[in-house]
Amino acid sequence: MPADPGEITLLLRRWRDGDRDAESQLFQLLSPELRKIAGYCFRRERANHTLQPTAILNEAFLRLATVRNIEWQDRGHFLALAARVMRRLLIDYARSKPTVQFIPMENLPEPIQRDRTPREIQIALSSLLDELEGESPQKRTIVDLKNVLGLTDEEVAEALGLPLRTVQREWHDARVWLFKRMSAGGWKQASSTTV
Amino acid sequence: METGIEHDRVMVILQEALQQQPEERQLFVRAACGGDHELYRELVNALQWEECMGNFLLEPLVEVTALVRPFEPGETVGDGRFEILRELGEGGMGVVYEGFDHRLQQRVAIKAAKPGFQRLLSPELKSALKVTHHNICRVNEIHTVRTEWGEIDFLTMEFLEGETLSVHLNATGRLSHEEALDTACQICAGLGEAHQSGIIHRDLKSGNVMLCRNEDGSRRAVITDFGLAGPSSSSGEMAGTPAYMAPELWRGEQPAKASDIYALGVILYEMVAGRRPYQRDDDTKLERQKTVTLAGGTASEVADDGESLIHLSQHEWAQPGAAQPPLPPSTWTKGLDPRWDQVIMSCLEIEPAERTHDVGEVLAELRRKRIRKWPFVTAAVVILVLAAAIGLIRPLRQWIRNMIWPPSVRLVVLPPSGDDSGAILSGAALQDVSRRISNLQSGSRSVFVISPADAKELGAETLEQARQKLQATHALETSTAKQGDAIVVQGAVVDLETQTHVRDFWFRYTPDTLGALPGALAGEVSSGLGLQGVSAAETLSPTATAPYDRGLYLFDKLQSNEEAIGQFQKAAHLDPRSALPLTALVEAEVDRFWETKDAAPLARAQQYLQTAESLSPDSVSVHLAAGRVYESTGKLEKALEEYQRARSLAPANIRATRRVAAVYDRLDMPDKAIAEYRRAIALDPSFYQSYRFFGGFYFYRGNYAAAAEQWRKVVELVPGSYRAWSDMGAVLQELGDYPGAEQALRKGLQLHENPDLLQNMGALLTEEGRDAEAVPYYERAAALEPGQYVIWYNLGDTNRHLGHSQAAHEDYQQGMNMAEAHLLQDPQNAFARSYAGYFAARLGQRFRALDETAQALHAAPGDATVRRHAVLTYEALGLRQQALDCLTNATHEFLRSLEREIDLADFCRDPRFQQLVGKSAIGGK
Repeated sequence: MPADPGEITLLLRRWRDGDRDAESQLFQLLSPELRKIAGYCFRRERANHTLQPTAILNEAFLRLATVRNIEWQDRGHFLALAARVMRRLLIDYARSKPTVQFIPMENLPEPIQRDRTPREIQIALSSLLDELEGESPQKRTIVDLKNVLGLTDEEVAEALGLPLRTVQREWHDARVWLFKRMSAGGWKQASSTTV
Repeated sequence: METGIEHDRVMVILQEALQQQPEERQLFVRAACGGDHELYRELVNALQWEECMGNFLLEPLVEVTALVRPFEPGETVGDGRFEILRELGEGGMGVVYEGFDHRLQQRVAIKAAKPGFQRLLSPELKSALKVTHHNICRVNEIHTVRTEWGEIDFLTMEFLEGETLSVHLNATGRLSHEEALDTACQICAGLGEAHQSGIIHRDLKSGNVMLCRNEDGSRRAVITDFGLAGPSSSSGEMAGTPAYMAPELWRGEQPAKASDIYALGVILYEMVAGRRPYQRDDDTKLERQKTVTLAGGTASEVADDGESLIHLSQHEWAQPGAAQPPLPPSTWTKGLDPRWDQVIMSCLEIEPAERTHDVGEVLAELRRKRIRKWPFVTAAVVILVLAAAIGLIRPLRQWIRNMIWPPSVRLVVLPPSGDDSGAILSGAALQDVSRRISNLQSGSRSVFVISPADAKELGAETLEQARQKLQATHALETSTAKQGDAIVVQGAVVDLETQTHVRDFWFRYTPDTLGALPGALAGEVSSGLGLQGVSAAETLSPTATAPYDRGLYLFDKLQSNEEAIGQFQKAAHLDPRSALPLTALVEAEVDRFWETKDAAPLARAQQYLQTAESLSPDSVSVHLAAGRVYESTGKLEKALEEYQRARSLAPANIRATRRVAAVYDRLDMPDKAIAEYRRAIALDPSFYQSYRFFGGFYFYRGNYAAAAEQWRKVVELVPGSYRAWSDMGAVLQELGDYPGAEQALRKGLQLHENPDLLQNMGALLTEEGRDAEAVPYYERAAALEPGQYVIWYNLGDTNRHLGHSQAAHEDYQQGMNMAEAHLLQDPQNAFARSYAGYFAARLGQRFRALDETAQALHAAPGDATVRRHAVLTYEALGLRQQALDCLTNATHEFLRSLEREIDLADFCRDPRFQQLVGKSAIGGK
């Protein structure tokens, strides 16, 4: 059943202003489409590959935005929410299918990899993100936009209406924050790296 | 406490630093901090974290970057007036399109802001619309259009066809004095005009200077993107490109004329030195070591709170750091006209108040002619004309002619300096040099030589005196020294007008070979000035001929390099006065260098070349040999000059023609290369080498059918050459003919067990999925030739596919070491760089991988191997779109050959890839 025109826009604005009810309503409204999109991603798992940017995905997002009549000004919040939904779906999917790989392991720093499986890394990350949100909702949103959707710094700045350098600083700080916790006890090894 | 501006600066510098090579980052950061200790500390800390984190969280799970496009090709905007033809480029905030203006019936460039970036239009831009100047890109109009994303600003500009100065410099290294002067004057003219109108560029850089052609074919330099850098916002966000940003901008000051002039200085520096002022030199191992030690010594153990990764010792800051002016450009460019140093260094002054104030001053200084007057001509001519008219003194006629129609070359042979010079270079020997030079000719140019005796008598013993007193245009200066029995003669052919060295030479003679000196000096002059006539026949004594010919036979039949070298050495020993065996040795050693990538053969080649040049510097074989050495050290323009000189001396020389072709290929001018290869074949259709190289040309450009056609001829002409079979095997493999390829490789291996063949056989088996069978071939190849990184590449991939990840990691690391060693020798080598990119990706060094790959693609955009590695690298990094972008205009065959890469199986199933394959089949032959 299609949502009323503008409904999502309204919810997005409420969500932006901190309404947690709006968030769960949005989840319900958006997840069928986003689940479809996630499906595209997992179909590629056979090749043992990372999720790839595909034209299909881009189009799906655009179509979703058009169909749901989301105003352009609210695109940033829409994307932020979509990123969050996507991550949750990916985690759920990973929990149900232990063999699925959706992050590349080869390029991850050793202190993060240790002997974790990709799934464990994602799950650990996901719970840390909730903790990060408590400290700084903005940082969490930036991590979602960058890490799930792969937006450029400029795009995040535009989507959230922040100065570019602020986005870069927050992103850097958020990564350091997460890295420290993800590699707790293991990250000292990396200190031998010289600049 | 950190202010908003500080906060921005850290991020600006950090982002730029991450684009640098890892080992260059610290130096870069220090330069950018300009002595600000706190800032430096914070940056190094941030950078250390970035390096620790690697690509943690950077790999997106999904990508939607292509989401936002202001326009699509085919669309019309502005009430149907502008048709969008294609996308030319994209920046952070905008996209540039090629468009067609139907009202004015002309092509235009259209720059559109991406949705959300409406601050495209600065006050400067609006005033820039009013400035029209030949050297500034004309901005026509600003339009606003309503789209589904909201209102979008776009502006239409003059469509410029050409390349940016930055791209040009990346490809060519540096500009010649004349080119640089011409380009610099044009940039200054444009910038001066803007400054006069009160407009500041804000983001001047070589990437914002387009090099185009005027209708008469002359160069036109055009400054683009005036005022587009955007105004500095109230938040203090900085605009600009770090390498070009004046020190005061880093301190948060507003852009002004002075900061534009600083950027101008950086551009001029790049043009004449081929590098930016604070750019580190990859070749200086010593410096690298120093920095590494420094970094290791100052980065303290990680503190427990994890916040402070670095402590700087106080004395480090006591040493003068980046707040110092850079080294003058002449440090990097030998014989650079001195005016450049002066002009550039005064643009690069750290304090704006001490900098050149006005572009006009720069222009005036650049245009200042070197003194060139003819002070005593008038009076002298009157007397001499009278004397000649009366028919009195015959030799005077020459003098009169030279006075009235000054010859284009007035060369003075200066008396030599140095110990015992009289004894080494007797008056008679110097007279001989002068006589030889007088006999040189050059089309319409005449050459007039002033002998050392005359120079001495007229009181001209230095370059300056020669120019002022004798109005000489060129000078030959020499100095001599004894080294035991040997005699060293060094010197230069100097262009007195530009005060540049046209040729430098360093000869070493034994008593046996000293007789070659006069001819050698004359040869330096003829070669330096492009004159004809001195090129003495290249002779060889009858006793030396036998081993020399034997060596050539072995060498040409592609059988044994070592034996050939032995024969050439014998010949060189038997006739120490001939350059021929020496140039053959140069060729053989260079070949060996290319095979092994080991520096020792190259060093030997350089020594042989030096001796050959001391015997006969302007002979065909010596120019060819010199070209090879230049090619091997990445100096392609120099190599081209040498080959072209060889060809002008001997137009029917096949080797010279073929090498001209090869250099055009490396400079990415395929059309010119093909024409030259065809010309080489036409000179002697029965000579297999021309086909071999022509085939190689096609092969590396991914045109395998054409390569096979050429190489089939090679196998027919020289069936006993294992290399011919090796090549044949490689191309058949690319064409998917596995049994044919295997047969060819086995034939080659029967003739000679060579590492290339072994590794090609391994590669073939890998591709057929016979990984386990391939490993022994690779291992045998690696044992024979551990310096070949290609083998490590294959071995690494194979081990990875077999699940031996530790072994694979070690193989990639070995390969990386080899590729790095090669790049140190030849930094322009795109092939090696593309390998380095791939190894980096497999070793988890993401930034390095991206950087190396981008550089490789930039240096050799048409090279199939480079493209293949780029695709593999991007795929390994999970960057599908970038991988696809590498394949623009790729040939059908090349695309099909990718389908056989195991690591690209998924990539090749991508509908976008399939679409490219489909398109290439229709568009291809």
